[in-house]
Amino acid sequence: MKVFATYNIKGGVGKTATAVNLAYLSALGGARTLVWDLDPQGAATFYFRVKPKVKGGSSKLVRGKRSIDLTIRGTDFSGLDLLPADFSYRHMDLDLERTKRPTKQLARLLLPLALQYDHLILDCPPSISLVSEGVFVAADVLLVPTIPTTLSVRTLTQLHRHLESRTSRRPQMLPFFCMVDRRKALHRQMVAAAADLGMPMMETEIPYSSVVEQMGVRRAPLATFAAGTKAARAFDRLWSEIRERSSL
Amino acid sequence: MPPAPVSYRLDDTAAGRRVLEIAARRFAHDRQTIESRSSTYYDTFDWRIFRQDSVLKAQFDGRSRVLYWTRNDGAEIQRAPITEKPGFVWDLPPGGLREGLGPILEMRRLLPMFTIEAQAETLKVLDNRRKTVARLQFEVSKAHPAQGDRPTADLPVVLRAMPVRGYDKQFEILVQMLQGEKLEVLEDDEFALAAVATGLQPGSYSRRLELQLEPTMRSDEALRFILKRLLQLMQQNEQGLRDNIDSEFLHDFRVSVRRTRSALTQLKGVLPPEKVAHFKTEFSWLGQITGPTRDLDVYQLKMPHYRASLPQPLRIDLDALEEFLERHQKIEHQDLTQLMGTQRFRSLVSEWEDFLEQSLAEDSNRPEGATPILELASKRIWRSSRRVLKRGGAIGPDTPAEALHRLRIECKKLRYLLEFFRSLYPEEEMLPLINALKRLQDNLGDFNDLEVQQETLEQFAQTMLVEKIGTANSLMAMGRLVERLEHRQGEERKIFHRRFAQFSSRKNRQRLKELFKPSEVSQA
Repeated sequence: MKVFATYNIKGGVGKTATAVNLAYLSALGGARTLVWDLDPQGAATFYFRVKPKVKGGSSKLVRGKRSIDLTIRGTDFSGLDLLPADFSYRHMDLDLERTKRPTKQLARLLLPLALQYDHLILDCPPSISLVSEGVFVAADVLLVPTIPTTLSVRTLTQLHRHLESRTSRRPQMLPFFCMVDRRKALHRQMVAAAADLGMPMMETEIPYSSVVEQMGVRRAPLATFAAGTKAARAFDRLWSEIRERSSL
Repeated sequence: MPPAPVSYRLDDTAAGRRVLEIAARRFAHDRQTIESRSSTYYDTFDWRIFRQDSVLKAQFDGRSRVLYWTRNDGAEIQRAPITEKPGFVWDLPPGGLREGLGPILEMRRLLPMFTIEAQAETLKVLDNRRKTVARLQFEVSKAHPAQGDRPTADLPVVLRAMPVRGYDKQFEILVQMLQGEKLEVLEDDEFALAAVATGLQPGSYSRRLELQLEPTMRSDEALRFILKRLLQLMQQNEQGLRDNIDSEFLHDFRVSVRRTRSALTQLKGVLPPEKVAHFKTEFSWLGQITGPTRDLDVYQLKMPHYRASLPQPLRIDLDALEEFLERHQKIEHQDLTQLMGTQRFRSLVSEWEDFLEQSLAEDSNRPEGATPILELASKRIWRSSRRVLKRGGAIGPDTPAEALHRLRIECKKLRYLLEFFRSLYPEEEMLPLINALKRLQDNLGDFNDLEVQQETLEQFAQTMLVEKIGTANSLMAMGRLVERLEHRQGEERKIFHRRFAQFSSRKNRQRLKELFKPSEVSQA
């Protein structure tokens, strides 16, 4: 099982849209795919129309008192399952803290899933916390959607340095620009200067698009209602590039 | 675990639409447009997937092609997206599927059995979030046989209720509704249905002899029966051999040729000697012409072991040897198919067929022919087993290798006899005997094989020099290989004494005596 995580220290950058669309493409390609919506806001859960409720909450799940198996829900798409969010995930840091090896606990919880799924996508909450540290240990590939603005790029550099400084295992970091608005001079400049960032930026960029926002209304992956649009095609390309770069 | 899908057999598509309408009135729902899929089922010629109570299908849904390996009860074992048609296991994408199938398929090629073209109309049952919580689908499909000229067959229209993980209750409600409709539950899976519809018989080929003889049968009748089965095995493998599909067609073919020759020699006097002499010459020729291709097949199959036996940096130096083997296998195989196209081959087959079909009356005057087979079989097995025990018992630590080779031949003869006549004796006595003999034979075979390999690799190296294939490094790597083989041969020799002791244990000697030793009365 290959573990991907969509992550950014900042919020509102398109993590969930990325997780949901890529998960759909992954399942469409025949891989058994699971999304774990780790964000207490439960946006991915909302997109998949699943009730954002986990019996026993974060505390039981994190400490292994409730089987992950019983918590998983099938989505509307074959081969694509969801481990829903729960509002109690906002305490996940504290719950992890109470386990023996807090940073390795998430990876441990994922072990039994390895036989059931080919791809796992962790949709992460923003900020740096014990949860994100756990994600860095568990994930093979860290997908970092980044808006091409000065501050966002600065945050990305911070994250890159943070990961580089880790002595233990670190995930492959794959940042990409998203919500790119070609009408804005700043966006164009930032994208053009990407090569100088000293980071493995992906070539594909996701354009700013109202159809992506429509996902919240349609509550479905782009490819199901807006296939062929620029944004949907961009996610297609993004998934191909990720597979290439992570040698899938 | 989530509940399993339930399938029902429908009379026609109208019945499918009717049930979907009933469900539509009952549940909040969404309709899915018609979806097509094409699923090709694969197995080896000797049905290795089927014999594991599983199926292997490559499914194409218009976008992606995925190879699914599932148990007969529908549970998925492994899957992998593929870009090319499945063939040999080592050509599959790396991962769980390849690892799982490896020891099952070994060197056999996957062949398409039939392709199912299906169209499904689906009703999605929704909850109050308009989330899919169960699916109801009816599917119309046809099966196209992949081989031979069997016609396309319609499969029954199937209605399927499918659960969504985590929504068991809603699935139960759906199934309850369907139960009220008094539909016929379909127990057979798609593979079984399509096999019946296309007339394919899963498991129909087996390389085992599977002979059922009667103890009182006349010996000539029994021998003909055995020889017919061997001919059948040759004929079943002939096409795959000609097409060079995988190495085992030729292997099984050659085993049948060898068994045929052995049967003719060891049951001397049962059939008319002048005719037997002619066929023995011809089958010996058949053994000869199939030899070179088999030898190269064997070395190709050994390549992974050869590589593994060398230190990592040297492994790449064996590429030249692999290339050499591939090229020469093709050449030898071409020569072989040419020889199999000659009048000599065709005559052998047709004359042999005629001979085996001939009425018994023609040689009914031969006394050995009329002997009940149990009596003759016991006599010959007893004689052969005495020889094995005598020769084997005489081998000490310093006996020349030649003696082991002669023992290997004797063991082979005994093994063929035991297998020809297995059904005449209690299986619980035969099985341990055959197994002990088999283990002894494996040891003797390896010992001999390791010696032959050393010589052959040296010959290959000479030829490669002449043909200018490979570099000094490739030849050095092969030299290392020969050293490894020599070492292993020494190891096998050490094991021999243990294996022979197991075969010639008091218990097995007792078995041989009780089963096969002719009584004083019948000897007189």
